[in-house]
Amino acid sequence: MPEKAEPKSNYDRLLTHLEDGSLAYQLVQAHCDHDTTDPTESMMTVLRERLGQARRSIDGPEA
Amino acid sequence: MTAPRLKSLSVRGFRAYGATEQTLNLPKDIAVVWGPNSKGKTSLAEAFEFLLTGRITRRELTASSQDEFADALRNAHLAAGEEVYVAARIIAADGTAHEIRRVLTGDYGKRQDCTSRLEIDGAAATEDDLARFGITLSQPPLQAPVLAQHTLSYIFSVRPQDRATYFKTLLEVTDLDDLRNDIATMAGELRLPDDPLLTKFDTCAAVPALKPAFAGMLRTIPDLATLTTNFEDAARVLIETAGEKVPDTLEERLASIDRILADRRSKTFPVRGFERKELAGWNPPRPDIWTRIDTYLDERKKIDEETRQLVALFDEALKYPAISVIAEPVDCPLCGTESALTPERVQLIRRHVEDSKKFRTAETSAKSALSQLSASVDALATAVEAALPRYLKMTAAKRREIGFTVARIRELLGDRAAEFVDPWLARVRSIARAGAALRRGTLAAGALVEEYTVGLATALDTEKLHASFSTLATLRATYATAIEAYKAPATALGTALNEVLDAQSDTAGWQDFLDIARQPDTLRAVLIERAARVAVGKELDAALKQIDRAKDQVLNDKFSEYSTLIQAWWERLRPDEPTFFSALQPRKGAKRTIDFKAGLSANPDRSAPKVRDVIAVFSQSQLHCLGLAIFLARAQHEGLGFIVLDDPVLSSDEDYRTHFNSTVLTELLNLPMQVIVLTQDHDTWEELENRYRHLGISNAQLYIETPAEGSIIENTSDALLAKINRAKSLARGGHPDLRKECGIQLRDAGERFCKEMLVNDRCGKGDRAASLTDYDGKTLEWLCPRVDPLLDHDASHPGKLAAFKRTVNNACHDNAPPSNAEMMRACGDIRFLVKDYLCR
Repeated sequence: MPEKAEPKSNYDRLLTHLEDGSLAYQLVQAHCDHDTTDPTESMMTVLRERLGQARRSIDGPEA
Repeated sequence: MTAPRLKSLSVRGFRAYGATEQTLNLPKDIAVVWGPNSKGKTSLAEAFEFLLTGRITRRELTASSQDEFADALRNAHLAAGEEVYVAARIIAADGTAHEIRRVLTGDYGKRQDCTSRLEIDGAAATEDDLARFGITLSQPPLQAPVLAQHTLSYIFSVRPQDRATYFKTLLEVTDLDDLRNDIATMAGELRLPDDPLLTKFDTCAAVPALKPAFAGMLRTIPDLATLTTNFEDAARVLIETAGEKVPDTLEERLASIDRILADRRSKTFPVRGFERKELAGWNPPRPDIWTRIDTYLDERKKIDEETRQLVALFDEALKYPAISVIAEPVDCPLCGTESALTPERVQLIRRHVEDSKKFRTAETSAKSALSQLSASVDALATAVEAALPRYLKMTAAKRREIGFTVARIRELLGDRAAEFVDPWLARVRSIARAGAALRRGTLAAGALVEEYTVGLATALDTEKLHASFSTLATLRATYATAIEAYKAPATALGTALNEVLDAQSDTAGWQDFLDIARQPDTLRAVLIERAARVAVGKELDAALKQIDRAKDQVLNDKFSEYSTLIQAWWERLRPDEPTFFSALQPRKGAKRTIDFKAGLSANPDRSAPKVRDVIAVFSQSQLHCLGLAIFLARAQHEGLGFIVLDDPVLSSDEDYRTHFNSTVLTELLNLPMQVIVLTQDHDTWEELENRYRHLGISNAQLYIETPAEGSIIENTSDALLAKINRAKSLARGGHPDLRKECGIQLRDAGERFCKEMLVNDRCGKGDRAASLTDYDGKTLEWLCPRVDPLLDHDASHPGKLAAFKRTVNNACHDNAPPSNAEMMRACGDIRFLVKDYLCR
């Protein structure tokens, strides 16, 4: 019996080739989040959070 | 949820089908339809296609000119006004039953597409609505799950770069391309808006004297205390460069730099001429000021001038006890007139004194109000003057004397003069005019206040005074607007001029240093923001590169998976051949160009194959087979619920027909997938009926009685009717050999008819063991005499059988075959007898 076609989306495939936890992985995951109605805004949220982390890291313990 | 299934397909007036609706019954697994050439097979396949897509791809793929398909969909013999439609009953993926119907509303024209109306359960619908039932279409041009000869050849006849269209849904990653582009666009969000503080910081970092103090800050952003220390060091260096004494605190050092800078600039140009102060706030007089003045005017009206002059005398008179308490008239103490002061007169004097007290109170208040108005005017006049640039308060002669001239400014700025001087000059005129008008207004208002203060007892026109201050408020607003408009061009000019002066006096960057050193908190915040954005920008670049690599891997995965699928179907069709399908590959450097690769091996185990392009090495049969494998792989990958295969195996390809009938169909049914096979090969029709009887296969036949009536679908696996139908299609052929073959088919049909008649007769008489095989080898010569007595519906029937026998015997022997008309009559006779006696 032939193998049944695997209903895997391109996004799912992409995630398997990205390092778990990397910024690329987080962005793609945010884009694919089923709960979101605005994928671009979800990715922007990830980017803003990353920017916030970078600010705190540069600002040091004083902040 | 399972895949959708077709229950039946009905056709009316479409292509080869006539005015009588024809219905093809479809069981859940497999149906096979047999029809000789030109009996409506391809029309039936295209009916499926038209139902789902509203068009037929043959027009797009094979017509050299689309004009060729004008009026192609409507049956040529259909009467005007007759409706043309294709309808199907389906079981949707969710198990519910529905009817899909497409009515042709406009046939193909010479230069226009056909039009149609899709209905689902009687309601208007679109192709997108089909998806609700699990019926999804592929990418154009081959959208419908219908395989025909022209679709088989399509994939190899188009350019390699156009093959991507066929595989679009399978191999396409445009959604990932879009995602990647969206992420790349987000990089724009990380760009920091231009910030003057950062520009100044970078300028300072490039000043040789400041480099040592700034170098560290470029690498790591210091905390606030370290930043202040760095600024102290930098300030010290600048002051030492100027050869002056270095103060202790940062604030003192900055003030020192400020002064050094101004001195040096002034040596080249009197920059202090630009100095001015912010326009101080000013409010129009409060309402109570006007109320106090009005009260005074009211009180003044109550007492005439003479009374006001005598008030002091009255006051003194009332201090005498003898007067203040008199009950009888007494002599006047001032003039001695007898009995001049009566109690009534004393009472009048007392009232005059009382009125006079209110007047004096109001007078004092009015003087205070006028004083406040005077102060307000003075404050405004001072503010107007202070807000003017110093050069506007000088005479032209004085400006020339100190060198503050427009010509000099232009000279210093050189090529950039027009950019800065012209906008500035345009605003200078505005503030000069507005300032002068306001100055005149303050002088006039001041003079009026002064006049009323001095002549308080006689003059004082409230309305005039009120109007004067209203004018002042208007003039001040105009002046304030002019000042606001002046600031930007003046600042720009000042900055540009200072840059030139600083460069000439070797103080470039000093002003920038002063500006940033006075805002360490803000500077540090923007430095952190910039560093954070740069860091995340680099991460985003890296993320995009990772996504690009991953996207390539996804594409490779998909090509690999699809190649595997095609290989599997190829192997089922042509197992163990030394030349085989190897891979589907994107062409290097051109991802949208797809190549098919074949493996050629000299060894039975296919080891060490040479890889070549299939177009170059495959035979037509192999290409045909590969096209079928590709179609099946696509159908499998897309999870289609049903497929229609119109003559999937070439009639010349007996070598892999067996594999198709057995392995391929079995695997398709196992997916599971509903399969509808249309074939002109009678053996295939019969073989499939035997092979898939356990699955409830449905057999149907196509034939045409008359062209006007069109193709007829007979939902039967009846071998006897099939033989008659085959014979009838041959009877119309003009060649004698065809008529001979027709005779053979008719003889078989006649023998079968006679055998069934005899078996039915015996069964009717209680012989349960009666079987067709009892008459194996018996011919018409033996059978007819035994059947004649059974043809008792009409006296003419035995004669029909005899005439039939004579015609087919003539056709089967060596003599010339009977004419077309005779053969057609024989077909009609046997068909009549079959229907009349065997209830078919």
